[in-house]
Amino acid sequence: MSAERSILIVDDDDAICETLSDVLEALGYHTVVAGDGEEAVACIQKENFGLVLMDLRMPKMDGVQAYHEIRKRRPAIEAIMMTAYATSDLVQEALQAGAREVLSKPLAMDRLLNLIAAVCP
Amino acid sequence: MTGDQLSGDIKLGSLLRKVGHLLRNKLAVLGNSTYYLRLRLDDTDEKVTRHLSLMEGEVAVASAVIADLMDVVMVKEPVRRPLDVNQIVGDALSELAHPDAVEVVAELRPGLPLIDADQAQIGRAVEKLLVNAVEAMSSSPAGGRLTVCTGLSDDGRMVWVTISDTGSGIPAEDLDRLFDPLFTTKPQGFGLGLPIACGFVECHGGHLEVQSSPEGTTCTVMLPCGDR
Repeated sequence: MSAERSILIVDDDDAICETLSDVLEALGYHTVVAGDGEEAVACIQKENFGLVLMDLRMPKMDGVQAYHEIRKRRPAIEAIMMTAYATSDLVQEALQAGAREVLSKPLAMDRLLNLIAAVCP
Repeated sequence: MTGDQLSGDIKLGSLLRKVGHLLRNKLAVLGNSTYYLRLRLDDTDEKVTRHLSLMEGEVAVASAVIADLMDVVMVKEPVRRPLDVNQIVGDALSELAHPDAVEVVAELRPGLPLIDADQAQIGRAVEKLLVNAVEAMSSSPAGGRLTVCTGLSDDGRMVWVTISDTGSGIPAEDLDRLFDPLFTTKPQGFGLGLPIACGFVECHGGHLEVQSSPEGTTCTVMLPCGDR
């Protein structure tokens, strides 16, 4: 599987990781899951991904911090952020950090898949 | 407001934020799982398709109720930037679901001054008013017409948005209670749409007016123009 169609899913809710992974794998993507920002950075050092699909609010290291750390190591990697509750300034911070989009949970799956298809053709 | 009340409001706000966060994550799991089942199950089975659609619909409704509750209880300071009201209205109209029998007419005045506003908040306010207008006409098989107009006040200081429906109007005795949280005349309503819209508009220095007759209802949003 090429790195372009590999997606790192990062969320501290295991069930979200599992269900997103099942959907994306059923559609032919390769996925790896991580439970927080630190774990995500560790994953990036072992494997290359076309996209990070990441929660904004997580323990240890939040999504924006983690994306900064990830881009230091893999500058070209794209990110789509997810959030169950975000203030407008946190959303702006994520977009300024380079995230392609910030999606609210529960996710509009068709919107998410269109975005993923644009990043991981 | 007493110290105890303030402390109670902060605790309630904090509690609701946590509960909302938790419930949205749970709904996200349900939504993802439903999508997975739709991918894997036989879509020619009418009952399966029906139940998947019901699950998706209920997730959407529950999510909207949580969003409304959080908007009412947790008033956020607007994050302002220069915005085009016509763009906000256009975006909200493009997302609006309505029956075929409801005709949508937009008369947006070009070249309006920008407003300094929080896009999400004003977008939510407009969305709430549009949904109310559509719902006012949806129960009639004849449908109706939703007309959305924008313009500039005579003194050039305020931009306005009017959202008009041709529904049966709001009874005169209910008009004074429209902005009371949880007041609703709809069987499935929650009574938070107008208070949310009003709250967002007022925290931008604007105001919201509702005029109604048996021929329909018009909501007018007035928002101050930006300094730039």
